[in-house]
Amino acid sequence: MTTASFHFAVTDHVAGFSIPGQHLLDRLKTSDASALGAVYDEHHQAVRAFAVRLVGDRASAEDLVQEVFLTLPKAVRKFEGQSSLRTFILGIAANRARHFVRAAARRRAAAERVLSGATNETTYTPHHDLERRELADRLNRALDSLPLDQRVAFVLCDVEERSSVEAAAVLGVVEATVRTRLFHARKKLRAQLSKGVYT
Amino acid sequence: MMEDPLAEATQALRELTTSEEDGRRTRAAILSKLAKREARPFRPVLWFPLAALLIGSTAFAASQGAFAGLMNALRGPSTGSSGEAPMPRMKALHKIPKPPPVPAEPGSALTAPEMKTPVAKVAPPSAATSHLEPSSAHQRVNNTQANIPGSVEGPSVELSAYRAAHSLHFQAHNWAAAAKAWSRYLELAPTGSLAPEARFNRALCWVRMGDIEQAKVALAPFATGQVGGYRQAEATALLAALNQR
Repeated sequence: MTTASFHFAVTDHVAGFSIPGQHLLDRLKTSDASALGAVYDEHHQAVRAFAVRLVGDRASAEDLVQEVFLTLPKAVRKFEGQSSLRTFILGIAANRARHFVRAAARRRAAAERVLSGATNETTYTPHHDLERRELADRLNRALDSLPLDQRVAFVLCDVEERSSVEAAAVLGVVEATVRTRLFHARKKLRAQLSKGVYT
Repeated sequence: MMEDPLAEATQALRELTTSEEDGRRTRAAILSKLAKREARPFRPVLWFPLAALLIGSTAFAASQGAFAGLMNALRGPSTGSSGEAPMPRMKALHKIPKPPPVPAEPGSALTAPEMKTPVAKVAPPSAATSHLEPSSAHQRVNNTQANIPGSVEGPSVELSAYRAAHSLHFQAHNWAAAAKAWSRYLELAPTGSLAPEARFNRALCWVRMGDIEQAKVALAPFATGQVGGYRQAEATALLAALNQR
């Protein structure tokens, strides 16, 4: 191994969290499997958590994670280093989420129709965890009624507790746009939850 | 206890959707799909234009008669020892152009307009066989117009003579009879489009018969490129071989 390549390898390992080495990015652009594996290991948990919160369905979220990382070698050719690689990857997830959100929403609606006539005893179980699970489900169903851009803004800022600046970087829009979307999302969600439609 | 149901639901969603999975299965699936994608150099979307191009070029080549030449070229080396060469393909042998309008003259109203001689467009013959008769099926004679006198219906006398000579040369391998037959054809059509080929083949017959000097004289115009430029290389090589004897 030459001095230069050793330097890059160390840089990849140490700085992979925020600023990936140029060598790693170059390998990623050529669809190098080891490079993609390294990037996946570094960022998959954040991407998966965002995907689950955004889609509201673990199976669809896994599909979205796969889609994001399979798209990454081609998409990263447009990565100019103005944000972190993780922000860039989350942006891909947000852009690719539409199909998966729709699929998950259809599944939720179908499940709701099936369960509407039946008495679900677990709903009334006084177990704390089940109550919280039901609360999260209600929010997920309320999120299905939002436009995707408002939904993404809400998940990024309120569920993932990211700043509006960071959300703007993920979405590639100005901060004011994020705040506007967030305002409308909160307003609609409050209305949905207060109606008790899903309770 | 939170009073804002939205805040409470948001916190519940946040806590219940933390990524606890190690993601190994998804990682393996991603890398497997990536490997499959990389191992597929041609995408199906490219197959349709390629297929259309292949079909189109094949149809075009068939319409232009290129396949016959190709088959002859492929057949040439393998049949070199047998000495058989395909007969030239006749194209538009009896193409009769429409007579130009003739202004009517007094007293000539009943006179038929003069017919132009039919034009024979003949593809080049292929000859050749051994090192002395190199294969030339791919060569084409210049489609110079040859005046073929006589009837416009049926094969011409000249073409029949050519076919007879060709048969004697490349099928019967009767060199003496072939040389005479080539000479007869050349008497009938000394300026025909097949005349250069007939002269070249007659020279080959003379080589076979051992009439080297006459063959050298006949091959000299080909070697210098005066006639039958498509035979120049073969004639040059043949003359060089004859001079070494």
